[in-house]
Amino acid sequence: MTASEEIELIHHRLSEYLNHPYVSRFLPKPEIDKDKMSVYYFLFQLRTEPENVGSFVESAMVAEIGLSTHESMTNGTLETKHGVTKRQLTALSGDFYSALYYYSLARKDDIEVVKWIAEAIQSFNVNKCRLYYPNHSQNWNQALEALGAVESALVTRIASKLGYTSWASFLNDFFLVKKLILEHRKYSVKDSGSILFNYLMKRFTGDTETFEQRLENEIRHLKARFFTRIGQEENRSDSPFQLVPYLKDKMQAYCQCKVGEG
Amino acid sequence: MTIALIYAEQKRNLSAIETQLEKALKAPHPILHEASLDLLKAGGKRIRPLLTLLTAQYGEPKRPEVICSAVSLELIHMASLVHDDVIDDSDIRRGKPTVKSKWDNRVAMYTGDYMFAKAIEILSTFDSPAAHRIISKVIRDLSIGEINQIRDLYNWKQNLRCYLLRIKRKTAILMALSCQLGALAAGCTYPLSRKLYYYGYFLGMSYQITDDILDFVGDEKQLGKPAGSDLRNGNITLPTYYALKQKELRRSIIDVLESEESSDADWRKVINLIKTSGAVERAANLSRRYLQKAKDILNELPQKKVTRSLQEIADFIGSRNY
Repeated sequence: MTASEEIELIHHRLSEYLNHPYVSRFLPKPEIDKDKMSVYYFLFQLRTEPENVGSFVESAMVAEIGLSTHESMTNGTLETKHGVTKRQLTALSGDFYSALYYYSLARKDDIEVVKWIAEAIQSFNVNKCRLYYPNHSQNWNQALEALGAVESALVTRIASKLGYTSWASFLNDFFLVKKLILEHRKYSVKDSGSILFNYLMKRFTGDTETFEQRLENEIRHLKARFFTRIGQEENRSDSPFQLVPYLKDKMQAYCQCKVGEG
Repeated sequence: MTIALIYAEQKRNLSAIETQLEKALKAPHPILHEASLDLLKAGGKRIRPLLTLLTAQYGEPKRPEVICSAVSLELIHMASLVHDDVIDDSDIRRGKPTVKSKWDNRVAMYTGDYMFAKAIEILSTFDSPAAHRIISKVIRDLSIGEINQIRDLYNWKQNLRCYLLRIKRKTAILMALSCQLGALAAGCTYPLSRKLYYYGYFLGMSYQITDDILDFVGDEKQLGKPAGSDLRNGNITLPTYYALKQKELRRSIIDVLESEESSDADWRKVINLIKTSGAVERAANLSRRYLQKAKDILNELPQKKVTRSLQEIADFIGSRNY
């Protein structure tokens, strides 16, 4: 079985695992980030027994999904019963997914990975607060730094723990660029909006044009930095060799998409 | 032996737990720190840590894992309270503004998730694969229980088993785990820890049924919310379940639950009907039966001082006034 077939299989298993018939009546199916899944796959593949790779990837992804589910939590008063139930289930399904990663790893007796994930989740939440509730006059770079830390909290922690500490920097760049591009898509669609971009624009620029320009520059800068950083690491003898071309291709594809939009 | 004496005897350990909790909640962001500390300072009975400390006395209570377990379980409980306030849209808890009302729902999510992850990190130092399997299953079941509670809202067709399973997951299993984990952390045998699990489980079932009764018979001042709030929120608890079994009451209860326009007077009327229907007494009877089961377990345990303390706790829980 090829790597992409195996990743597809894990994706399928994960979709089944996350399915909760009642929750799915109110909330969309949890999104499974295939890039994160692939990164986990390539990382764990080099450091663990082949038969355990799938369950590690699933556990890490379940934790990621728990966090992103809570990201869709809204504020403000709700008028309809359906809206209230949706909010309640957003909180509870996120908790459920967060419980599942511990449950599945405990079944494998792998408490070390539980610890890594638990540490990363703390860091994720600290950086969320740094991003949205800064305790000092935060500048654009600090906000983006917090966003990058949020987007790659789990994946960089696991990479470091598996011995790829220096990979954290370009994994961070990759997932930050991806987030900015995907949020830009949401932001561009009328009436859909992006909580993140509305917040960043209000805080740092005030008008759409300046914001778009700033974003464009940021993505260009991050992309260049990503290619420099990954170039420095790709010749390491113990590199997860399939991961480098995968990330490079994906970065090109996301950035082309962004250009295409313009 | 009185409950006050039990708390007094465990004062040093309980205070060590408070210190550890405070340390665990020292988050590197002021809002996260303040939000979690507010909840800690608001206090609470700390019944779960107390159970962990007591059941550890069947083994070696001075093992560091004992305090560590108690701290983790209390953190899990606290994390669930922060999220529960979002779910129930509550602005006040223990007389203080909730995290979601002082900040907002998103901060409440971050705070609860942070606390929960901290609890798991602390637990990960616990070198017992069997314990992790037990703990993680309980945590998973707790969240399934919460989802099921939302699913069953306004569902007057639910059966007794459904209610019992819900309160098991909502309350009883965390009390059961507090008891079992205390024993395991202190190095007791698995069979002994299992008996203590059942003691905690029966105690928790009785405790939750009493809570559900108090929601009907308590006054607004005692409860901090209007009497019958559970029913008003669509939560079918045991007194309502028993009242629904009475033909002459059934229609009135269903009507008020099914109508989107039920007035305060409609709710009051139905709540009064339930209170005077004998349903509360039937529920109290079941609560006592669970309590008796908890006490029966104690007869199978080594007859030590701690067994009398657990007996006292059961009596204390049974003495909460309806």
